[in-house]
Amino acid sequence: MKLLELVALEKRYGERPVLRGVDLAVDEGERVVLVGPSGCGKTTLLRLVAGLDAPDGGEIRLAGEVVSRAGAVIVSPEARGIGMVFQDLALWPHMTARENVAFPLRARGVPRRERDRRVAELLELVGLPDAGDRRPAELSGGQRQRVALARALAAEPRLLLLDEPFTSLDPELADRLRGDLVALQERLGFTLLHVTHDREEARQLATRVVTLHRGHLGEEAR
Amino acid sequence: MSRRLVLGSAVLLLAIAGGLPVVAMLAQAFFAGGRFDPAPLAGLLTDAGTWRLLGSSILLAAAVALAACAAGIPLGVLLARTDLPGRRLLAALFTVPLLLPPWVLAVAWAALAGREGLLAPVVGPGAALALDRFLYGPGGCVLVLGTAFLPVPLLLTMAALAEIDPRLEEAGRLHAGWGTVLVRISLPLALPGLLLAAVLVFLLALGEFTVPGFFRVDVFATRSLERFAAFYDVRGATAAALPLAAAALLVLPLESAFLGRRGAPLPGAGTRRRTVPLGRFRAPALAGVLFVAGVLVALPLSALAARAAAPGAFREALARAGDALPRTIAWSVTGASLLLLGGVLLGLVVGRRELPGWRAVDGLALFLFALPGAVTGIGLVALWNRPATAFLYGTPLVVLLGWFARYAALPLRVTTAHLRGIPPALEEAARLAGASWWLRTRRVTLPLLGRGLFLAWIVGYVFCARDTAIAMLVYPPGRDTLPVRIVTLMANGTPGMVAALCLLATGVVLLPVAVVLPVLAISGREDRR
Repeated sequence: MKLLELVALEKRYGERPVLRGVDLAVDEGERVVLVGPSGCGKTTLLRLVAGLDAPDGGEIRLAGEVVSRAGAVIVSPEARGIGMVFQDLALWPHMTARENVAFPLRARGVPRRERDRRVAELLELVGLPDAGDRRPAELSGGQRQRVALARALAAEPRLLLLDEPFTSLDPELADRLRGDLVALQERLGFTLLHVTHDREEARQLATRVVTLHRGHLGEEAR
Repeated sequence: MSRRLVLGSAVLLLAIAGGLPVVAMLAQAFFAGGRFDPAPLAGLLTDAGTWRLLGSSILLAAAVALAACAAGIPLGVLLARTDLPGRRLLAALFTVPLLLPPWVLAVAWAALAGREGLLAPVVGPGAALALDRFLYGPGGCVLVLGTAFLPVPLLLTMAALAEIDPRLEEAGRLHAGWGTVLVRISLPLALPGLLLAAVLVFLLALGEFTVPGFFRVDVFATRSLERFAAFYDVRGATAAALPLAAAALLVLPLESAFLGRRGAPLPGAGTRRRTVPLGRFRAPALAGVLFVAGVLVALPLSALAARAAAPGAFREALARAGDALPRTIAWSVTGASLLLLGGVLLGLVVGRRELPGWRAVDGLALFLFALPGAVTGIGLVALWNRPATAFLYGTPLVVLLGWFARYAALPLRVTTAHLRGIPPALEEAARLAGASWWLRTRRVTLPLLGRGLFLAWIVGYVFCARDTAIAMLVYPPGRDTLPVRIVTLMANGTPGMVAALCLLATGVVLLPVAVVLPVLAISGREDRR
């Protein structure tokens, strides 16, 4: 079943077109990696899928429901059931790791006891059972990545978006985290849409690779 | 030109203008004839009246801070982050009271809601008397000072929200609506800025004596002035200034907490700040904000204008203002130029960490801004009022020194704020190209500061032109400024003439703002093209 469909998607910044008629369909449980050089529109595409921006043309469907169309975000970001790991992680510096991960649950009104249990599970899942009381500034780069991933997974999203989250890590750590991510995805079964400029990373993560160049989608490979 | 020499001169000027008077004040309070003698301070502290007055002044200042923040913070959120129509215009309107001397607002409220004010015939004699009683008491002080200082939390809330990386809010938006994101993410991140605003308003209100004096409320800030003006007891005056100086130190840890939150990554490509759609609340929110702006700003100032329209009032006001009018403009232009020169250099010291001890420079400037003007004035008297320094004390130079000490923090902050928008790499490239510090400052940094320099000058001019406390304490004999003259005439002048004088003072303060800000706005639009 198709979870995400992008139909003739267009986006411009001022006069400059960033996405030009992008069509893409992602099946449930797939790990699709979008590869492209800097400035090709990868982040813009993720932001449109998340509902943080409205497209200028075309439409976006989630599980068959139209969630955005030209000039309009029809379903708000928090109602889409999407998790996202931002390029710079966007961890809230005034909250501990535990509070960061708990936020999506709290926002959905999950009772405190249940919330605590699930946060503990998530921190365990990403390999940080003892880091809950630390703030982002007190965590290493790899630990921050894991907290961001736990937060993105907290509300059990049907689709997880990753915006080059491994760029700033040393190759060895990035390699290990990619392996962990694949293992997690296989265990939990969520759908993954990942963007990167790194072809090696794409090969390691993807069940399908799609290229994006100057706002157009290119060849696909499995 | 040597970097250390130029920047060091600015730091030295700040130390001489503001640091030394504080030291001299401490020496006056604790020493006499070269011996430790804290008698004036001990006398002050053992007087039960001191503590009563200090307590009631602290309560009044806290009420002003609470009122200003209760209105200023929500307004700051609305004007900074929502799609409310006319946000820039409304922000400018709410900022007007801060640009005026606070006593102008007091006179305006008296013209509106005093016993013989514009409202009296409308509401009837009973209600008019009740309004008058409210105004001439702590309630009037809270209303007027709360309005006068409302722009502090408003502008600092807007600044603190602008500092937040938009991605932190977007990460929240994936899970919650705007209301939750504002309450749980944006405002906690802005908290140090909000606390700084509250403390600044508290300190500004604690040091204010003109508005409480107008509404006949006794406050601690007048104690020091009484000692000085009525008894010429400089030691007693300095001792009475010490609690206010100690309170001003409060601002420093909060400021460092506020600055400590900065350094978040700047928005990257495609990450623009979202405005929060108000939806069906847009029209009621606009109506509410317009109502508040009307009641707090437009209505009292209109009443002031109506009172000043009394026959002959302006002619008499101009005659009474006399030479104080051009003198205030000339001194304020000079003061603003000195503040621009020194403040930009201090801004480079702090913003680019050009000298060791830049934190201390920043802290001293902020402390001097938070210090009540009367305390700075007493310090200047304690330091310079001696035969050997008559060349300075009896001249406008001492007023300019006082203004530089008190207001250097403003151009400093304007400069550092604009420096944050200039990537250090631009200056580093000039350095690699072999340019000296002076050349790269002159050809790269200052041109890039551009509009920031104009803004720094305007801010300096406004605060010099509205200053009352420092000028009142140290103006050379027979050469008072317009605010000092008006405050002196307030008790004896006719209401129409006093209102007209207040409008004159308003014009003197706002005229350059009205001329230069539209030019800045147009050049800003062209820059963005």
